Amino acid sequence: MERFEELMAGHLEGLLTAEEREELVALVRNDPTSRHRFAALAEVDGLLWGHFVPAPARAEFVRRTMLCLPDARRQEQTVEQVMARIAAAAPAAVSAGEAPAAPPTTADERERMLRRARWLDWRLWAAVAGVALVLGAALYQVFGRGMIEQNRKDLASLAGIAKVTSVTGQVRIVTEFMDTKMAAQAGQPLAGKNGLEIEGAGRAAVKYWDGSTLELIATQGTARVWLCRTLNFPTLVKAGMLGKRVSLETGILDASVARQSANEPMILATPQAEIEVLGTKFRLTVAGDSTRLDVYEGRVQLTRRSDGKSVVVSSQEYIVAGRAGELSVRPGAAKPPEQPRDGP
Amino acid sequence: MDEAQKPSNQSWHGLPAHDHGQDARATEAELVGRVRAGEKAVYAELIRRYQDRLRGVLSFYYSSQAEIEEQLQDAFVQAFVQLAHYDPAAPFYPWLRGIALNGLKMEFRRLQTARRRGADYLRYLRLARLEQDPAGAEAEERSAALQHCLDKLPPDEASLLQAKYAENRSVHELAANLQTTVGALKVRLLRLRNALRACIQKQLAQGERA
Repeated sequence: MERFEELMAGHLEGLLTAEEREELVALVRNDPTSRHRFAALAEVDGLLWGHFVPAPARAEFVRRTMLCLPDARRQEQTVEQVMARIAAAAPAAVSAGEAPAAPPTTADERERMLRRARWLDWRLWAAVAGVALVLGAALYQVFGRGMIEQNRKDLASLAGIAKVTSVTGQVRIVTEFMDTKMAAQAGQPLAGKNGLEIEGAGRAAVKYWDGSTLELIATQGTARVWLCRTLNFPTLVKAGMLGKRVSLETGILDASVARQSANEPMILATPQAEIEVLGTKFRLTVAGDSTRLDVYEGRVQLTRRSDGKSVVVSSQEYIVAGRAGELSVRPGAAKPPEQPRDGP
Repeated sequence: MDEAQKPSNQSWHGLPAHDHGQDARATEAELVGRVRAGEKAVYAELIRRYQDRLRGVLSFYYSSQAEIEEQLQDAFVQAFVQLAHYDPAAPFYPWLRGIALNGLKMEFRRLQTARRRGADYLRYLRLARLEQDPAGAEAEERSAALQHCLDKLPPDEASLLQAKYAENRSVHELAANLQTTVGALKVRLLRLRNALRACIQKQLAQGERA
């Protein structure tokens, strides 16, 4: 077996050392025949990976992708808000002393009014940006240096969208495909589409860059939670739909969620319900075919999947959502848990 | 108690409450129209319809299932976000494939300008195929041809590939199960891939002649 084939066979099985990989790269870089053979073999290997996807994994793919979709309703609200702002700018021109305009009757007139509204909009935003810049510079001088430095350190430690801060018991990080699992350790970053899985009795805490914390607890059996990668979608960032999304399959999840933007709430999904959070503390328990939500602080909106019914659960209240039956909020939430320990 | 009930079929995840049978019979234009109208759960049917085909195309450029699945998911999410820009008069799949390949082209452009060392260089070589085949037509043809070639494999070889790729077994596990050495198994797998490559070429050449 010639050297190229040896290296290529090792490469395709993921068995090359760093030195061997460099040797393969050098061969491929300097020899057109090897380059051609590399491309041909790598192509077949990729096609085989794409071909052999079991039916359950395909169904799982649909489920996970649906979990990652942004909320279209929120996008529509954003567009409506922008249109409302443009429309509101026209009366503002009247109050500024300009002659009151008659209602637009033709397409040209409507277009002219829209152009004027957009111009006002631009002028308003420029003024706001100028004031914000001056204020920001002043605040930075007075308070900001230390905080920004701390945030920079925190962000640098987060290669992913969150990090594991503490681990007790047998906890694994699960990647997109359920087969890939590795033992979780405090300080490890979590990328989007990563999950945490706890076998037996154990717990793990996760911290997002904004300070929101989630603690996953398994009392028996397996507890599993999934994060959804939205941070890497530039389109979503631009569209203002960068909400955190988490899916709890089984187990208990204690959450302490920092204040979220109204356009970007954190959304937690369970098999029975979806929970929308703008900033609060609560516990979510998924066991059997029901989801229990205990709210300790703030308000949380829960929507049942089976019929789309929504209720708002306030502080010190709880609710149990199954596939059917009454969906009513009750007083007397369970005792709040202690704060998750913050690791490295 | 603050309680607001709003009956809705919308659910960003809500597959259990949804009638998949009805969606499966719907035309592509109907499905897209319903998603645009706010029935988010209907998008699951579009994913079901096109995931295999698009996965086949993307796999041409990737070397692990995790990478393929990640790129595939990104493509479906991006397509959902950009659905307002989709022209319903045109077929959905080529538009979706275009979005998926745009992601690859961005990565290729980044690698073109970066210093390519080690794994980055190998990655660059794989994506370089996009220069000759920007629409992914060749990737699509090769993916389809692979199916024919796999059908012709002897049962032993087919089950080896099944264990390696579908069950994601390591070469060490497979060697232990087959009572052979890792080295011998690596050679066997390499030859199998070479044979499949030759078969795919032959299939494509026959297709061209036909």
